[in-house]
Amino acid sequence: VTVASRRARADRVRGRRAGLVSRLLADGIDLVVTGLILFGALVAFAVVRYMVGSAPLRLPRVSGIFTAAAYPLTEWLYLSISWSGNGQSVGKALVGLRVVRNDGSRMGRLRATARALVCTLIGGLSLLWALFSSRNAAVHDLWLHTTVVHDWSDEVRTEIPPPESTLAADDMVRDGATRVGAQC
Amino acid sequence: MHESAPRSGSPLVQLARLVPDASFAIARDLQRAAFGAVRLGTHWSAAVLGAVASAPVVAGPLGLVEDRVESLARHGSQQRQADVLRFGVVLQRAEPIVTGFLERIVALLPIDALLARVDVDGLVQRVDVNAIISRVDVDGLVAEVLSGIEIGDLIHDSTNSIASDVRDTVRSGAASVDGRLARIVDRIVRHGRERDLVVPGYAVPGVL
Repeated sequence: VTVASRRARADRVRGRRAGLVSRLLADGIDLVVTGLILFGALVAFAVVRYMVGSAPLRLPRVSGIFTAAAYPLTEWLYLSISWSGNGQSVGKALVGLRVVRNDGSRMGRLRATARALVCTLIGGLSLLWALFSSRNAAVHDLWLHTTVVHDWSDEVRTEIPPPESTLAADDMVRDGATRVGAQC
Repeated sequence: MHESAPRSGSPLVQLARLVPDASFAIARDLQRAAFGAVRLGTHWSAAVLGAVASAPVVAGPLGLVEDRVESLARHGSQQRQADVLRFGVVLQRAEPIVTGFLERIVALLPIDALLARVDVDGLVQRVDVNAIISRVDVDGLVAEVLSGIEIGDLIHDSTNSIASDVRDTVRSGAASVDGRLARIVDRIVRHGRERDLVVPGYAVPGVL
């Protein structure tokens, strides 16, 4: 595959809304990344405990409750930080996706945090709506006025600054909920 | 030359010690005398013979003999040249015959059978390859070859290329499956209406 053909394919799909399979693939990668981050945190904790105290170097034994709480929390933080930047997490970057606002501009930090929270809690289920949506929109996309597009380029798109002042999570969720029926 | 011998012992012994040198001196004097006599004799003989040959009595018959000898020498030279030519002609005529004969001999020889009897493997085994290789500076050779190749860049480029191909294949495949799945759902649910998949302005570089 030449650079020219690669660029041609990237230009052909650029800006098109991604479908269910691409987004599921990206989300699967992000779940793995979240697990790796959590594992790295446990390893770091074990190393610090070993260096500070006299305990042997051993991974802490975590309960199911801890995992059930720490995993979503880690995913929320990870997705919030990732999407607040250029709208790409590791999974979305690998699959060539980017989360933007409906007008194509970059998401703000608050919107990204809210989207990460919704995706962490009900992301799998809400994503299924993308299969039937006319704009490949998941439920959390409808609530938060976001969309996921194909973008195989690596540059950060910051030409349009996000209007953080207009972002009010409650209003946005309410507004998105009222438009679900109209857009899908 | 003459070493001074210690003058000890009886006079007879001292005299015996002088005998070899004295004998050598006598022999050299005799040699010089002999050469001088020969040279003198040759000179006088040539003079006498020249005088005799120039005498009219002897000069006539000697001239006849000289003419006869000269004639014989000329004839012998001609014969020798003729023999050289004849020998060359014979060689030219014999060459194809000899060549054909040798070729027939070679054809009659069981060369294949002889070669089959040669133990090539045994000969190769007798060659000490390790010794030959040990005499070659393989490390230096490899280092010289590798010095001209940027291994790091090569691996980096090839790895990047492979990873990019895999990544693009996955992306293209996922997008293709997206389209097919959407078409199936649209036929069932949306009765063939197309989706609005383009974000306005996003695809134009530099706009966003």
